[in-house]
Amino acid sequence: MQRFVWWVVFLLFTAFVLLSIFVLTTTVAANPEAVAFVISLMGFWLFANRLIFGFGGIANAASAFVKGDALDKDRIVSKVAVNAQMGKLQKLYELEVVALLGMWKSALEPFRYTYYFAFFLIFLMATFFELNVLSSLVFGPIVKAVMLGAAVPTVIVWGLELLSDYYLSRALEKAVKDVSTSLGEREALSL
Amino acid sequence: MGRRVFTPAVILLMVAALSMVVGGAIGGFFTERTVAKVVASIPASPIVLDAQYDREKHSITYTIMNPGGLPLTIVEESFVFTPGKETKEKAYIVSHIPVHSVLAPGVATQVELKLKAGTEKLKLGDAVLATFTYVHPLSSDFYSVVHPFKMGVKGEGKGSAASEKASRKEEPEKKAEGGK
Repeated sequence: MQRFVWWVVFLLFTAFVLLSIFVLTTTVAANPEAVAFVISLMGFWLFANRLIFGFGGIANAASAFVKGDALDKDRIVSKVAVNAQMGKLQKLYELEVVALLGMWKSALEPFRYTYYFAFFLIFLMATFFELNVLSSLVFGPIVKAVMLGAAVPTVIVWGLELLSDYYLSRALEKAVKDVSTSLGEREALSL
Repeated sequence: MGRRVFTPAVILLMVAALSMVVGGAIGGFFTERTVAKVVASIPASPIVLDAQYDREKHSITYTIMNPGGLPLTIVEESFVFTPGKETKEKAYIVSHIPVHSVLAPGVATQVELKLKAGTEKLKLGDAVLATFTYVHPLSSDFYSVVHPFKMGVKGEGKGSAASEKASRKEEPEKKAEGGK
């Protein structure tokens, strides 16, 4: 049910974004700010894509793990290692699923850092123009439009990051509990 | 593991709230830009905020404000000099001085008007009636703004010399006259 609601929200959102892009492209000719907005939205989304699908994938996989569903280890290993053979060489298949998800999240860290840094720079420039530290009648509005375009994927990345944090910590809790119970059982058997 | 604050419901609410803020900012920005463009295209006429006589250069510096959104260009200056009681200089007219000063939109610009070379320095009561002819980027017509300047009258002609200030105080009737 929850997943269904998520998909409905996602589809509505996609439809909204496509509609907005359509509306913007029709007004683009008279409006250089609109061009800046669209280009920035698409460009930042392109760079955010890896983070959006990465954090989304981690959140999905971790929540499935919490529910007790079986996870496709090959898929998760492919996110962490260069390829399946490298994964085997690194003995990734011997690791717990939650450990692999943690590694996947760590692998996204440089991209996350770079993305937020780029957004911060744009945000800083827009703030400078807004506060008249820098001033230009031409570049001021364009930088602000670029910042607003970049803000859209940034909100999504940020939300998905929080979500993946939540599910990963839930999954970690469950995995630790599983390990301790299995250890307890083994001790009980050996005794 | 401690108590979790960021449950999926809370995260969803936070993202929703933030999306509304970002959406509002985007909508507001584009509305503002559209309105700004419409307002900027309305022709505005310049206003002279201040005029000061520069004794050394023998010129009057006008502070002209352009309240509109498009640049205006002053293409010509003319002025009529009318002597006061204290000067020996005779009345004269200088017209069609070609200049090119651009009044940037939304700000006050300083425009200098050189008085006739070789004439006496301005004395109390001397009047200069300046006419600035300017053009607007949307039309080929000429427009003009006329500014009367009287030496030593109400805020205008604040000469650099301190003695002038003192002499100005002596004639309060001139002040009253300038207030008309």
